[in-house]
Amino acid sequence: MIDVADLQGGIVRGYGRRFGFARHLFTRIREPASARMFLSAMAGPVTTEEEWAGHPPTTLNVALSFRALEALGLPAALLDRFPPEFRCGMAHRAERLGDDPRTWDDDLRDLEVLLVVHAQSAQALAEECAGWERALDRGDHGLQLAHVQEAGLLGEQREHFGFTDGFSQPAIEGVAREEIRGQGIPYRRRPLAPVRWRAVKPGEFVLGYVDEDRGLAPAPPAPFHRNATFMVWRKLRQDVAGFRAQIAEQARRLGLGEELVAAKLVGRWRDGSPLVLRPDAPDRELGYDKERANDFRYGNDPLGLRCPRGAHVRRTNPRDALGWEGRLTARHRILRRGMPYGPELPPGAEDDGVDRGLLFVCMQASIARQFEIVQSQWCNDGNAFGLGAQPDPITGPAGGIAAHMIEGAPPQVVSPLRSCVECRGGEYFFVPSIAALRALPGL
Amino acid sequence: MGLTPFVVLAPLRAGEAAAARAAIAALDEPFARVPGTHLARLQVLRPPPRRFRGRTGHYLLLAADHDGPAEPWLAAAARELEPVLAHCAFFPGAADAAEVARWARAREVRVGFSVIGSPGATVKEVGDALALRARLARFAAETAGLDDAALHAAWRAR
Amino acid sequence: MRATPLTVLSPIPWWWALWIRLTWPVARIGNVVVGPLRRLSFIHFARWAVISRWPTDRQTRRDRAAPRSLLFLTSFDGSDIQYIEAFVRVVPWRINGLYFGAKGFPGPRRFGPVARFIDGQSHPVDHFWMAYPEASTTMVAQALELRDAYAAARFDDDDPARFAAQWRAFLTEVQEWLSPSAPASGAQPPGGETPWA
Repeated sequence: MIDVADLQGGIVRGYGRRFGFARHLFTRIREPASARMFLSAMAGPVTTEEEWAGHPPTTLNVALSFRALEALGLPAALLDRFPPEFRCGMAHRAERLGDDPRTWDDDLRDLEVLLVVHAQSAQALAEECAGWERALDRGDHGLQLAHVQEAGLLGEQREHFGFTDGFSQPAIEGVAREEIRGQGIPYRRRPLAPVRWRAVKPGEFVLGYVDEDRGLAPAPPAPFHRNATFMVWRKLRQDVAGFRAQIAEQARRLGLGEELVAAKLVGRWRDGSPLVLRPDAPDRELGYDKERANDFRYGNDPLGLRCPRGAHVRRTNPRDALGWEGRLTARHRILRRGMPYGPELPPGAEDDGVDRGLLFVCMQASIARQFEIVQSQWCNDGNAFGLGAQPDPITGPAGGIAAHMIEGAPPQVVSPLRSCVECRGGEYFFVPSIAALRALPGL
Repeated sequence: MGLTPFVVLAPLRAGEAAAARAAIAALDEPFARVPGTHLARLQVLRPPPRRFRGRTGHYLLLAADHDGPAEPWLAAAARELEPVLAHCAFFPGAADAAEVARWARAREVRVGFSVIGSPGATVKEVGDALALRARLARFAAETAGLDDAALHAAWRAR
Repeated sequence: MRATPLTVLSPIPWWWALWIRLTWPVARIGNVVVGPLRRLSFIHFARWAVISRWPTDRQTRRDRAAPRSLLFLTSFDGSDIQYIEAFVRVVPWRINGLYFGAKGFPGPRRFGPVARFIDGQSHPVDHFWMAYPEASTTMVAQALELRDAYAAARFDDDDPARFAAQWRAFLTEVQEWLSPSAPASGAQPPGGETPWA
């Protein structure tokens, strides 16, 4: 059982749609001793994984980049034992991630301390953040507020391209969503027996617990060794008008419906119903049914005739698409905890130049084994799916031009396909346990 | 026709490991000039010693998958790799192909078990097939959605 | 370059060298051992050899300090994490058949210890070359299948309707081997200029 009092909240279980407003406060460390005291004192108000008696108006989380750990003056012997990709920082992993940090927003480089406030209302968010921002502005806590990023859920659980999002998450053993079919790992008790689903071991997402390798994942030394996780934070700007225009253009070119073209890029219809189960038309009831919307595999669709082999959801969670009933995907799951940002662009509207997109946030025990494999091997490249160098049609490398096959008789090709998602910056963070926060002054 | 593996493990002359590595670093795509080479590797390695037996020597490992018979391939490879092979003990020089073959065979490591990913084809056949695939893929992308007449015209104009 | 080379040298006792030499001919027969390994399509090749005697430059004497070893040469597409994971999660008993007796082998069933075992016995490759560096082994296999299908295809150059039907039937047949690229996708395909026909 996970020590819920020591694990920050919002990791193994998301806060849910009730908390539809968020603000990400990035701060820099100006004076290490004071900053350590401030962060240590956050152990009190930081939200934990403990059950709530009722829903609080707001939640609070804190995360630290390696740059922050260095700026806090932690001993080298401790710092050296963090994983290499975390120590490098996300900008230095750009080649494998398909990023170009030279184009990143200045405010989203070299990030240090991240405070995240989620709230049930805009007013609650403003009140809670005002307190933190006042405290940080005073400057006597050794931290200085550097950048603020707002986020907020859109209607009907959708993201800016119009697709329902956030409902397909790993089932975690002993924690969350175990009973929902399709969220975990498929298996058979005996050859030819029916496929069952089991939850993923918690150690795939939380340090200090048994993982799918039947051991404890490599972890930094105490006090950072348990009830902690690694977070990937990326601001992904979405060109909504461009995406809509491309869909319309390709639909005209291929003589297909726009909804079908969009679904064939993503792998689900906009309402969330999966193509593999509903290849011809959307099924809103299925799409919004948490119990059934993820109960599928790709083993019966090896050629991608229902859901294209290169579709976004098939790449980001291949399930059994790589063969051997999912054994090659089980250790590359991520917990997505992001949220859209920016106002919606009304249907049919011209591009208004407003910054909008997705704050992509995911949690895992190993960034290199989990997020980076998904991004570099499955999204930025298609070889695992028999598609050569073809990138993901939604998240493919920024500025790239790609093509996407819609398998069929005959197949169609969506081409050219310009990437409408661009990373504007981000970082790798460590989300420490409550005990680790408390221990900071003494390290 | 399948790939032929060839693995040579040759002791380096004493004290010349660093020079061999430097010679490898100075190479300029030599295998591009050895026809029929699919993959090749060169490295200096030193096996870990058995306990209480002292130090081991340095070895040059040359391993390649190539088309056709070994001797012509070896002769061409030796010419290109002579600055590296010159650091190997008893290397006869690249001028005499027969001597090179004898030297290499005496140091050949016999592969006991192989798993090969690709079906057999020569380097040229692979290259031509990849180029054809790229052209067919591009044509498929460019002509998707065209009516019969336009598709036919595009085919004739390719 | 897509491919990553790996050279692993594992000290083995005499009895294990004898065992794997005896079982290799059996392993080569049929598809039981090789088949699943070949289905791991990101492997270019994987080759194993036993080195019983390490010669020295005093040609008549062998290097007695160097242990009897199992040499593993491989190259693969993708990350080394996925490569090792594939062996551990998909073909562990086959790996056990090769490494059970190797000194320090931790058993085939856990990724962490196997990865450390391989890392501890890897020797960096100083120079690695591929004739087709941007093509994965899957792409090569697909290209060869496509070549054969194209050679067998018949296209009627004179009748647009018949040609279109033939072309679409051909595309339907070969779609799993084709990954269409956009018109301005950059790098030239390998192999230089090749006639269509």
